[in-house]
Amino acid sequence: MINAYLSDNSFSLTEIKNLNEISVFFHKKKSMESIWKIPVKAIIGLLDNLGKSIMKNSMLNKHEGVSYLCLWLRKKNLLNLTRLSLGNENFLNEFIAINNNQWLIAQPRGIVCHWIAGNILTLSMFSLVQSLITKNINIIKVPPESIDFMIQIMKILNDLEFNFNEKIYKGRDISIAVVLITYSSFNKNINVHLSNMADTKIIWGGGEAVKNIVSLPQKETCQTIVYGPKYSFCVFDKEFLSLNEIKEVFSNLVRDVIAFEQNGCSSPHVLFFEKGNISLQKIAEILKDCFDEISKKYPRLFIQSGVAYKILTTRARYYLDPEKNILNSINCDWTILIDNEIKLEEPVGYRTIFIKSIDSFEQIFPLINKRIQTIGIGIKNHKKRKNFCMRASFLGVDRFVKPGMMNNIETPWDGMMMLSRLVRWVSYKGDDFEKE
Amino acid sequence: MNQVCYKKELDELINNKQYMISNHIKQELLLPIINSQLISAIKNPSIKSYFNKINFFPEKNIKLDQIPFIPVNMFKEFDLSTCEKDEIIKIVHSSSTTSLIPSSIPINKSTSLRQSKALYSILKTILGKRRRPFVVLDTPSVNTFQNHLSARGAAIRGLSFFSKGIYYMMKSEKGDKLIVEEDNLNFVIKELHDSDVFIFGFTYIIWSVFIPFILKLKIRIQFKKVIILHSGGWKKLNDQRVTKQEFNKKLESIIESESLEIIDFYGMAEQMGVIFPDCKYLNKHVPDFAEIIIRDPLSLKECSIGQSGLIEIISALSDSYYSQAILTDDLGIMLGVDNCPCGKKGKYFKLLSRVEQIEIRGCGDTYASKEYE
Repeated sequence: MINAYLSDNSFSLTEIKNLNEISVFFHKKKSMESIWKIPVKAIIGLLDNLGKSIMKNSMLNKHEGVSYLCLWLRKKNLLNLTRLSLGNENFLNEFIAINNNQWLIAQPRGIVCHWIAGNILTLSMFSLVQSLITKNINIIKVPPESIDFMIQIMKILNDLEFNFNEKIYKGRDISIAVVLITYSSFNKNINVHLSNMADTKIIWGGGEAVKNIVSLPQKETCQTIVYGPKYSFCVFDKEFLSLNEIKEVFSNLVRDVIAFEQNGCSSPHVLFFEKGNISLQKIAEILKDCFDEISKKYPRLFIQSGVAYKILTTRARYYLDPEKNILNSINCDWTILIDNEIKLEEPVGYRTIFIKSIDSFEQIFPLINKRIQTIGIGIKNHKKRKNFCMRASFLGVDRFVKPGMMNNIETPWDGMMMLSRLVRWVSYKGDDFEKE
Repeated sequence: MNQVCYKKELDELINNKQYMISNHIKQELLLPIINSQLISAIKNPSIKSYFNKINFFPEKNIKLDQIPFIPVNMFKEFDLSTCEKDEIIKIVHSSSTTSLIPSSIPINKSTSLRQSKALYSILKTILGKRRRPFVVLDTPSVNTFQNHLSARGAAIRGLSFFSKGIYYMMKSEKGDKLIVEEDNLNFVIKELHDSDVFIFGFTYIIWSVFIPFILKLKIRIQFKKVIILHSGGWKKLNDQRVTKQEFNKKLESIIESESLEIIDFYGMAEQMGVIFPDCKYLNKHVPDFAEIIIRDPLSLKECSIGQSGLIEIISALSDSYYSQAILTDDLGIMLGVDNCPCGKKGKYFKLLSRVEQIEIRGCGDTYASKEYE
C-alpha cells in the first residue's frame, strides 16, 4: 500500500494500491498542460507568496532550516537562479531568438520523481520548487519525518493566489502538479514502478540509497540527477586568524556545525588551521566559547543513546591518547577534538568537530577528491584565496563559502545547475516566427 | 609488584555474604579502595593523559559517579593495563560480536584470584556450597589453558568451582562451528537423569545450536533438579526478535525436571568476576565489590529511579587493568535501591538492550577518503 497526498483531497491521506492511480490523477486533472500554460513569473510569484506565508506560520517557521527556505523562496532569488541556470526565464514560456535564425525553448521533461533523504526537513522543497519552475509534474517520495511538514506547505500553496499581468493565478493550478507519497523503502516493486514512470529521477541520499535507485530500470529517455554522499570541511590561513573579528567568524562557523545535527553533506567536520601566531589550543578555546554561547541559545534537548555512545567513545580516544587533546561540554552537547594528523576524519556529527593545524595548504590538496562538496574558507589574501579555490575546485570541490553559509542550499549544488537538468532544450532553425 | 591498598577491606567485601549491606554503606566502603586503585592506575600513560585532561585528581574526595569512565570498546584500541607487563598471566578476550575486533583485558595473578573469589561469592547465592555435576553447553576447547582466554572459557572456569564433574555437550567442527557431541549427550541423558545438576551455556549458542538439535531429536532431557545459567549473545537474539520468555519456554520444552530454574546473568569480559544474575523478580542486583551507575545519555548524570540510560559498571576487583569505571554499550533502567522484594540490598536494575546502531542518513553519509570507483 502507498500513502498518497493529492491536491484533490486537500493533501489528506489517500491510500492507493498502485502508482498508476497517480498517472490517472495527472491525466484527469490535465496537470501537465495546466502548469505548462502558467507564465514562469506567475509560478515564481506564487512560490514567493508561499515563502511569505510559511514565514508567518508559527507551526512551520519554528523548524530548523525554514527561515532559510523562506529567504530562498523570494522572487528575486528564484529569478536569479533561473537566469543563472537557463540564461533567461522566458525560455520556459516560449521560443526565444538566440540569433538571427535560431530560436530555443526549454520544455519540461515531464514526470519528475524525487527520492528525498531524511536528514534535512526542508530538502523536499528545494527539489520540488526547481521542478515546478521548470513546469514539470512531480511525484515526491517524502521521508516519514518530513511528510507532515510537506502536507502543511502544500495546503498553504493550495489556497494562494497571485496576480500577474491582470490575471489571477491560483496555487491550486500548480499544486495539481504535485503528489506526495510515502511507502517502505524496502518495497522494491514500488521503487521499480516509480523509476519506470520517471522522465527525470532526482535522488537525494546516502551511498546505499543512491546505488539502489540509480540501478532501477527506467525509460531510455529518463535523466537521473544524483545528489549523493559528500563531505565538507573548512580551511583558515594564519593571516585570517589574526583578524579582530575571528570570534564572530567562529560564531558563524559553529552555526554551520549545529545545523541539521551535522548530517548534511555541507556540514563541516574538520577545520584546518595554518600554523601562525595563534596556537591550536587557543583556537579551540575560542571555539569552545562559541559552542557554549550557541548551546545556551539552542540547547540540545534529546540525544539517542547510540549517538551519545559514539560521541563518548570518540571523546575517550582523545582523552586516552597523550598526543591528542580535547575540549567538550560537560554533557553530550558539543565536542572539539584536537590533533595534528592531516586527514579527513570519519564524521561523528552531532556538534563534533576535529581541529588540526597544517604547515601549508599543500597538505590539504592530497585530501581533496570528487566527494568533497563545500569548503568553508577563511583566507585573507584574495590572490591566495583564488589560487586555493582554483586548485581545489580542479581536484573536485563543488563549492566555497564563508563560514556561516555552508548549509545554504543554492545553485549550483553538487556541481550542477538543477534547473538546466530539468528541461528539454528544443531548438528551431528556420524562417522567423514573427514574420509572415 | 602491584599492591592494592585496603586489601583486607576489599577481601571482606568479596568474601562476605553478598547483597547484605545497604547502598550508602557500600559506597563508603568502596570509595577508599577504588581511590587507591585510581592513584595506582595513573602509571598507565593513557589513564594519566585522561586524568590530566579533565583535571581529575584521585587524591581528592570523590564520589563513585565522579570516577572518569572509559567506554568498553576502548579495550580494543588502547593498552589499559595498570600493572607491570611481567605480572600479566593471561589476556581475556571479549566475544567481539559488534565490531569483530575483540577486547584484550590483561589479568595478573591477584586480579585473577579476586575475580574467581568474587564470582564464587555471587554464584554461592544461587548454587549454594554443594558441588554437583556441571553440564556445559559448549566445547572443552574454550577452556583449555592458554595465555589467552575467551569470556566463555572464563565463565566456565569460574563456574567449575561448584562442579562435581564437568560434562561438555559440544565439539567444534569445521573451524569454529559448534555441533552437539552426541556421545556426551547420551551419556548425560543416561547417567545424570536422577541427579541435581547445573548447566551453563552462552545464550546464543543454546538458542542456535543446542535447542534446535534436541527439538529435532524430539526428546526431553531429564534431571532431578536443574539450574540453568546462561549469559551473552542477546544482541544476536534481539536481532532475531527472540524474547527472554520465548527463550525460557523453548528451554523448558526440552528439559524435564521437578525443579527447573533458568537464570540469565549479565556480565562482560571486561568486568570478569562481576556478574548480575536475575533475582526471582527478574531484577539484576549489584554485588558489594562493584557498583552500577546508569547515566542519562544527554546529561551524563546518574539516572533517577525509573529512568533508563547507559550502564556503567564500577568494579574494585582489578589492579591489572582499568576496571574502576567502564561504560558499557548497553542500556538499562534503574529500578531502586535497597528495596527489591527479593530482600537483596543495594541498587537493582534491568538490562534493556544494546544502544542502537547509528546510521548516518542522507547526503552526509560519507567517509571522505573513499571516492566512488
